Amino acid sequence: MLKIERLNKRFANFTAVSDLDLEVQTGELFGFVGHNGAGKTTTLKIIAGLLKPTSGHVTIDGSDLEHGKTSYLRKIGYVPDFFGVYDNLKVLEYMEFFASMYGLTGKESRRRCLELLELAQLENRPDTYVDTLSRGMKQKLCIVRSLIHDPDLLLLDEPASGLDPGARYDLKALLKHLHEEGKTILISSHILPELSDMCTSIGIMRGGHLLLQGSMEEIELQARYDRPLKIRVLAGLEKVRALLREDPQCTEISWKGNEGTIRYRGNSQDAAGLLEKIISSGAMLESFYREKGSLEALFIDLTKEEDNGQPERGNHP
Amino acid sequence: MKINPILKKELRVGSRSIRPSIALAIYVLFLVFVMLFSVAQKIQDHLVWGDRFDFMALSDLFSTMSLLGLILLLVIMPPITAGSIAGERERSTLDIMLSAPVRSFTIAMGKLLSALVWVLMLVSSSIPILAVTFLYGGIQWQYLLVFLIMMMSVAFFNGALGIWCSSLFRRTVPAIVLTYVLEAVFYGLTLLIVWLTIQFGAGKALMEDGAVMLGSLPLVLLLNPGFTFVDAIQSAYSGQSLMQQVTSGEYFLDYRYETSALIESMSGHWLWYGILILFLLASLFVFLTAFNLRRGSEVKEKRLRTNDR
Ligand SMILES: Nc1ncnc2c1ncn2[C@@H]1O[C@H](COP(=O)(O)OP(=O)(O)OP(=O)(O)O)[C@@H](O)[C@H]1O
Ligand SMILES: [Mg+2]
Repeated sequence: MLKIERLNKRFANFTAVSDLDLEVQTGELFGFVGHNGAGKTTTLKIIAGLLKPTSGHVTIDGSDLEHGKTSYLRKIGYVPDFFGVYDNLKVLEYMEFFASMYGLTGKESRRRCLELLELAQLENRPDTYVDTLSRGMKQKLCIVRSLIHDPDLLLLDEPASGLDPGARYDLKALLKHLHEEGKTILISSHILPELSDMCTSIGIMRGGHLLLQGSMEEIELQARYDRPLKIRVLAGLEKVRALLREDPQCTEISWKGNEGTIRYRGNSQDAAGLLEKIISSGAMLESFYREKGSLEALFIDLTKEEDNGQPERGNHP
Repeated sequence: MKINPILKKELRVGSRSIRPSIALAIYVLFLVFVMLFSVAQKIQDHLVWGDRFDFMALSDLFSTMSLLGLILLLVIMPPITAGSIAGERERSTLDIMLSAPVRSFTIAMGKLLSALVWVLMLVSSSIPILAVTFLYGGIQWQYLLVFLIMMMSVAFFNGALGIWCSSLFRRTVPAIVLTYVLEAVFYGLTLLIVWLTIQFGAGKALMEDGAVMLGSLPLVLLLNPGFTFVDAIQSAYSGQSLMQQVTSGEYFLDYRYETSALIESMSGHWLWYGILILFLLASLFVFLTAFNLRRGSEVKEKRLRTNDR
């Protein structure tokens, strides 16, 4: 669906995006994470055609801005990081104004706008002035506004920022609904956990680089976040302890009764091998699993490296 | 042709906001006030001499009043146009518009046209006031028409200028300031240059009982829409344009002048050259605006960030 190749964006003396490669498949809900100044907005603006890249290429379903600008722009719906609202415009007028930007007018426009207002649960307030809406409602309005021309790809720049939990919940429900309808959604945020239960894939940005990209599951692996192995032994505790001591991948083992926590360096394959050994030794296990890493910790871990001056990881494994 | 969607929105928003109405009120009140004052003055002058008041005397007021209308327009327009693009940028609605397949020229024209519609209201409301100067002998519609056309042409120029300035900034205040500065350049500086030249040349001219040498300098007046405006009103009145009077070799404003052959050959159609240049400049501003809309967000973004943090 969306393909970004070797994208670079330099401002006068500052590189905001460097060598970004990114691919988003049709139907994905892609989370774009990074903290302030990582280059998310810049990237989204380039995709939306608002900024010209210094170098690199963006294509959506094969079309790009140089060839067939109109058809390219019709494929995207863009929601900027600030609400774009007017003081003296009512909800329905606001929708119809942007509909007219896409050449939609008259009855057809009215029908489409009302339909979208219903999606945003604003169908009862077409005559409310936009600037009097609550933040949550404004944000939903902005999102349905971006749907006016039925784009395939939605670009949402930090849609959840400044919303209270209730409004966030509503927003998520709306996004999930759109995702189920088959829209491809690219959503930026500086809070990874906020996206985790909703996104299918994630890209983590830092200082203009894409550190990692992949499905939620892959991200966790790629991050080689050393989540401990948790093991609960029912019988044969001694045998298990001995086996673990032998395994070169186990670095730290601590026991609390029959429950062990192991710092384990090996990958999933190694862990599976270990489990097999334990089982075949005759010990009985109640559980053996890798603790789910907290995404928050993973994110902070990944993005703080810059400060420690550690070498960067490549984009791909 | 479909109505420009931005124009439509602007008119709707404009009709609901108070600023344009206030500006309109100021404009009309000011004109009415000055008009009443001048009429009173004229009547008084006549009474002093014990004459019967001759309404003919009022007709002198027409060119003064129309010049006043122009000056008021110069003062009132910048705050109205300055917000047009900068304001959209401030709200990031400009980004939304530009992410739609709409040409930036359409956006620029929509903004300009909405400013012109507003000026048209302004000018039409001043026509009854100006008509007072025709109290004697019936309204001279052709003068009013010239006034209307010239006001709209100048408004076209000023609107385009203001919108271009607006497209350079993210905030309305610097846009207003720049618009005033550029107005001063086009309307004031050009005139000042010519005036200073005349003052410097005058001494020599008087001693030798010759003419003030202007050469091709009057060309800078083509850049001055205000001069073109006055020229048009003057031509309508006296059938002779200002430049024709300058090149005639007769005394005009205390001196006689000598100009280059180019100026002499142009003087017959000076007004049309003036109008042509006015429209060329205005179109240039519109195109620059359209260009800035596409490119401008790059440079200006930083401004916002440093301002906000
Ligand atoms: N027009 C500009 N001129 C110069 N530098 C810019 C410009 N726009 C952005 N930058 C810089 O580029 C970097 C990336 O900015 P960007 O807005 O893309 O970050 P972001 O990931 O969206 O951050 P945030 O979470 O604050 O929205 C920042 O350091 C910013 O200062
Ligand atoms: Mg941002």
